Amino acid sequence: MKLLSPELIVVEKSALALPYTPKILSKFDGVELEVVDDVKNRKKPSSENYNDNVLMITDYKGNIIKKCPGSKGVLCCNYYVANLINGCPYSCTYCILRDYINCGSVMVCANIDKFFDELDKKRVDGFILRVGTGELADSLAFDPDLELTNELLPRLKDYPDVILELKTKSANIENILRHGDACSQVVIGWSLNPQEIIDSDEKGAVSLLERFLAAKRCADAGFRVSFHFDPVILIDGWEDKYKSVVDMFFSGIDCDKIAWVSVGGLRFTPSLKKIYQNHYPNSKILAYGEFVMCPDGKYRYFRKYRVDMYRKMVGFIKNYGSSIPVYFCMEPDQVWREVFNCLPCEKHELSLTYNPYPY
Amino acid sequence: MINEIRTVSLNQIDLNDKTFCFSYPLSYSENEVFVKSADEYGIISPVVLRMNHWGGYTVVCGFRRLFWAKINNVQEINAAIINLDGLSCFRLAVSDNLSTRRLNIFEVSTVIDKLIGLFGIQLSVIIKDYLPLLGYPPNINILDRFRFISNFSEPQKKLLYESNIEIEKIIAFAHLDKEAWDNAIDILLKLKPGVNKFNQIIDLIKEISQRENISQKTLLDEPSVKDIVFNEESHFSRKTDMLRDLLSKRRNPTLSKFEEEYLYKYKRLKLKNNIKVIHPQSFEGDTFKAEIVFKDSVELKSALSALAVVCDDKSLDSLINFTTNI
Repeated sequence: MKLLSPELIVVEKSALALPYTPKILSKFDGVELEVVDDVKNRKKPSSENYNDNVLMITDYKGNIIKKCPGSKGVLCCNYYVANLINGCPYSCTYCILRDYINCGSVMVCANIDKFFDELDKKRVDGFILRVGTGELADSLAFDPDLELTNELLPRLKDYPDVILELKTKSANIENILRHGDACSQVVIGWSLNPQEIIDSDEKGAVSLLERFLAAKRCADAGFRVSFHFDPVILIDGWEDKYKSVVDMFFSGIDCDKIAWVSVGGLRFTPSLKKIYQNHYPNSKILAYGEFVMCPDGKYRYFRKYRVDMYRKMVGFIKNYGSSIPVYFCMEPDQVWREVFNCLPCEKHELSLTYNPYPY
Repeated sequence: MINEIRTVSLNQIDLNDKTFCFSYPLSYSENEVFVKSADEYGIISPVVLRMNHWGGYTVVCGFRRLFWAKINNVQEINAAIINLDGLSCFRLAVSDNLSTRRLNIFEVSTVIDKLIGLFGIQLSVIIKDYLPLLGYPPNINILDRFRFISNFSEPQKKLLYESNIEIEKIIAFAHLDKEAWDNAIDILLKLKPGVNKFNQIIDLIKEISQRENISQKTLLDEPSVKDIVFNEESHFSRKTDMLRDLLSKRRNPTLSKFEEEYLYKYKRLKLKNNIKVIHPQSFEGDTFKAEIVFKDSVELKSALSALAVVCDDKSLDSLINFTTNI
C-alpha cells in the first residue's frame, strides 16, 4: 500500500544538488514541485486547512543527530535520535507526535552525508553508539517510497561502533533484507500492543501478526530485532493480553536475536491529553488505570499501577530468557529499584546502554 | 447598491423570511437603546429590504426594529431597497450589525452555519475571509468551535445565553454525549464552576462512564450527583468542589484510598498547625518536605523541638514507608 501520496513536493533549492533528492523525486512523477529557499519560511497551513499533504525535501542545516531528550527525573538510556524523517502516516491516538508536529506534511532530510559526518563526530572509539530514526517518524513506514534504508545501511560499515535502530509499526522490511551484510549494526524494532489496541488506537499500522512475521523474517535473516511495549495501556484484562503478545513473539523468534526490549506505561502531557480528547473522542485509553501528574509535567499511571505492570511484564519476558535486556522508558530510579531491586547500570544485560558512558 | 429609499407598508414585508437574520435573541428588551429611541421618536434609521419574487420584501437588516414597529402598530416604515444577490445581502447584514456591536457567540455560529448551509461557502473561505470579518483569527479551531454551538437545542441555547456562559465552557460540551447536555447545563448554572474545574468535571464524567460502561446521563442522574447539584444550602463553589471530589474518588479509587490512608497516618503525627510534612508530588519519588511557619525565634525553636519529637516517632517511619513502598 502506498502511504505517501503527496499533492505537492516542496524542495529546498540547496537540496536539489544532493544525490538523494533525485532518487526521491523519481518516485513521485507528475506531482507538483515547488522549489523554495528554506522550507521553514513556508507558511504552516495547519491553521487554515484540515490537511496538508506535502512532502518536503530539505538540506537540513541544524543537528540531525541529537541525544534523546528523556525527561526530568527519569533515567537516561544513552540513546541518540536521528531525525532524518519527520512525520508518520499512522494515526495512533497516544502518539506524542500529535503534540510536537501539528501539520500533516512529511519532511525528509536529503543531506545524508551530513548525517554520517555527525555520526562520526558523536562516536567514541570502543563504545557503542545507539542511534534510531524513529523519534519523529516511523522509521520504515515510508521506506518503500523514500528508500532511506538504501542510503544508510550500505555506509554503516564505515562506523563499526554504531548500531542503528529502525523502529516501526509497519512490515516494510524488503529494502533492509537486501543489506544482510549490515545485519550486525542494524536493529529493527517493533512497537507492540495487543491486536485489540492496534484495532482501536493504531489506525493505519499493520496487524500484530504482520509485525511478527516481519520480525521473524528479519531475525531469520540474521538481523537483531527489538520490541517496544510502549505504551502499555492498562485495558481490562491487560495482563493476559500482553502476555499473549510476549508469548507470540518470544516463542516464535530466536531470543538470541533480541537486542533489547523496552517497556513503558502510557504517558502524556496535558496538551496531548487535549489532543486525544479532541481528535479521538471515542478512544477509551484515558479511561483505564489512574493517572497522576509526575514531576516532569507528564501524566503517568499511579506508581502502584506502573510498578505492578512492570513486574508482570518483566516476568512474562524473562520467562524466555533471564538475559534478555529489558529496560523501562522514562522511569525514575525509584521504579527501577521497586521492580528490579537495583539500578539499570547494575544489571549485566543492560551494561551496553546504562553503564558509565562517554556520550 | 441602494436602489432607493422608500416608504414601505409593513404588510408588504415578510417577517417570517429569516434568510438574512442571525440576531440572537431575536426578541428585544425594553432597556435596549433602540427601543428607548423608538418609543420616543419612532424608527429613525431605515431598515434594509430586498424585493422578493412575490412583490413583497425580504428583510436584510432591521428585524428587531420591524418587530417593534409591528407591536406598536406602525403601518409604514422607511426602508432602503437593495437589489443584490443573496450572499451580498447576507454580508451586508453582517457588516451592518458589526458596525454597531460585536456579535455574540450564538450569532457568529448562525452566521457561519448560514454561510455553509445556505450560501455554500467553502470552509477555507470562511476561515480566511469571514472569521477576520467577524473579529476572530483565521483558524480552523475557531471555526470548529462556532460550528459546534449550532448543536444545542433552542431551550439549551436560551439558558446558556441568558446565563452568559463563556464559549470555553460551551465547547467543553463536545466531550459529552448529547443526552447529558441538560445535566451539564444544570451543573453550569447551579455550580458556576470556572473553566478549568468544569473541564475537569467533564473529563471525570466521561472517563467514569467509559470505565463503568454506563451512560453519562445515568451517572449524572444518580442521587449522589443530584444531591450536590441541586443542594440549595451550599455555596456554589463548595458544591463544585464536592462534585469534583465525588467524581474523582470514583474515577481514581486506588489513588483516593491511598490518599485517605496517607491522611490517616499523617494525622497520627499530631503536628501543630504551623508544621507540615509534605509528601512527594503524586507520591512519585522518595523526597519529603517539611514546612515550618513562624513569626520569631521562639516560635521557630518550638517548632523545631516539636519536629525533633516527630522524628523519633514511629508514626513518621510508618508514613514514609507507606508512601515510598507502594
